[in-house]
Amino acid sequence: MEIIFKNVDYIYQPNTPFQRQALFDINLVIPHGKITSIIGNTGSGKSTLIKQINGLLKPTNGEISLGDKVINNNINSHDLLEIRRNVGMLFQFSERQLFSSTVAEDIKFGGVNYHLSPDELEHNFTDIINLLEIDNSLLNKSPLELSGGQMRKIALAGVLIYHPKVLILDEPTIGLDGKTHLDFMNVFKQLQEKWGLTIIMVTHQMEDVVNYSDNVVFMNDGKVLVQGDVKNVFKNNQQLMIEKNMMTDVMEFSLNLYKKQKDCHLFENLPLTIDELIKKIKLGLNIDE
Amino acid sequence: MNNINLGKYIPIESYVHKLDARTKILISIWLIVILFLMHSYLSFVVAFFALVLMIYFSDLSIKFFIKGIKPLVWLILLTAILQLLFTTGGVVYWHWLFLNITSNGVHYSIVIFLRFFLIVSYASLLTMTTSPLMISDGLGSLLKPLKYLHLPIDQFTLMLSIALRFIPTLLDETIIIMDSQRSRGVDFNDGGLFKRMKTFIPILIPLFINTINKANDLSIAMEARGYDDQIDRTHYRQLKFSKLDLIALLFILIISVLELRLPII
Repeated sequence: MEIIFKNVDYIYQPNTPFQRQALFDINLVIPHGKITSIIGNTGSGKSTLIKQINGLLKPTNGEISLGDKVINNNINSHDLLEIRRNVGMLFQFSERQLFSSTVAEDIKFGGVNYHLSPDELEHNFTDIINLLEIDNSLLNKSPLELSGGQMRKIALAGVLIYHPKVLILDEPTIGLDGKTHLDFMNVFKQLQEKWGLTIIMVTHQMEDVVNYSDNVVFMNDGKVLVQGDVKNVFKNNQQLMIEKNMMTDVMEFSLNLYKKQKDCHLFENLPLTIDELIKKIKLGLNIDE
Repeated sequence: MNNINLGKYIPIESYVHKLDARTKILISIWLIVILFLMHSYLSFVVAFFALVLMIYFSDLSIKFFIKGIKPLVWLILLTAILQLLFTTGGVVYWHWLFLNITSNGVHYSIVIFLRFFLIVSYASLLTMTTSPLMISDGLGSLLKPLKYLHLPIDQFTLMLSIALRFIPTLLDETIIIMDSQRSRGVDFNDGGLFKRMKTFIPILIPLFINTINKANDLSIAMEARGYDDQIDRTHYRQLKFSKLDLIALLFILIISVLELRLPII
């Protein structure tokens, strides 16, 4: 589902002394079936932006179109429910939202709310258990007995149960260990490739941006600074990315190297990933592939 | 949820904001006490004049102030109407079964309306211009004499300030949990009373669990930073009585003399 923002403004608590504008005239295209990362400093409006997509917040001005549906300030609650069914959202620290007495019940909660038929529910349930490799012995336990990583997996399963077409992830791997982090990122990649999901991910990890996403949106002070294909955005706006400290470890390493060895022109254009770095080093050392 | 502005602290700088919290607490209590001692309509005119003056010096817009207390005005109006219909005595204007409107009823319902309206206004002016932490510090300072009776005043004020401090945090937490259950298809505005009550289970359970976890973290953090309830605590924010407080108290003295001495008409 392609998502298009047209002149979207958002103001928190309008007409009170607490009034604060979080989004200014946002124009944005999030392509169908791709992973789009949203980056930017805290307070840049990332969370506000993603909440517009499933109507948790309605735009003060402007509109957002999802396929043939439109979200604007006067959307009714019936249409909203329809949109939320198609746009799943995994919140930050999503393990905190679990409440049921068993894991299985918690996973199915969303499916029941969206009135899936019993067959469909069971079918989706087995699909997701297999995809996320959730152990059968966990299903009858209380979600509170599990570890943080497992709980987060259950929360993700609880969103995937109703097969949304769009998946929004708000810092999905925050506070997880390295291995679980990789597991999660690979699941997201699979969801995009095999299930054809459109994925939108807020993240502070530039490695995830360059390694897993196709598109990137760079937010700053409630405005979109740059958007587009990941490689293009990072290569064409190198100076900006350095200035705002939006760099991968490889970029940081190469920048430091370049600063010390000014004659090393190979690093004038910073490599983004480890593979690119290896290629440059090989080039510098005259090693043929 | 964020639209509840009843008595919410407005962090701006004004003469009223700068007053010592103790002064403001004492003034609020005193003004409310004398509201019950006055019967003349002229006294109420003075009280309203004083209220407007106080709002003016607190830099709050009257419109926002009224919007803040509006939800309670309906409750007060209901009380006043009940008073109007059930008071007996004086000249009877209208009578039906057990209901009647009498001259006494009219008088008392007006007085009750004005009285409660002013109480709510004073109380919200206090909380709108004084941060919750200052209020609890102020209360702690005012209750200090009770320490000699071996009452745990310090612990009491600490509990109060922690409770007040965590209201916005819990409100934010509630919003996040509500949003995440909402995106899993919960509709909080759908169905009858029973169904709506059931939709609150997915909010209350995570909220309780998170709150207990937070309380646990907080107590560990406090102990790590050397909290001990046997030791006298010092304060980072010192309460200071200034010239401004003296002026405010003088103003209130004049107002209260006027309110209590005005003839009944």
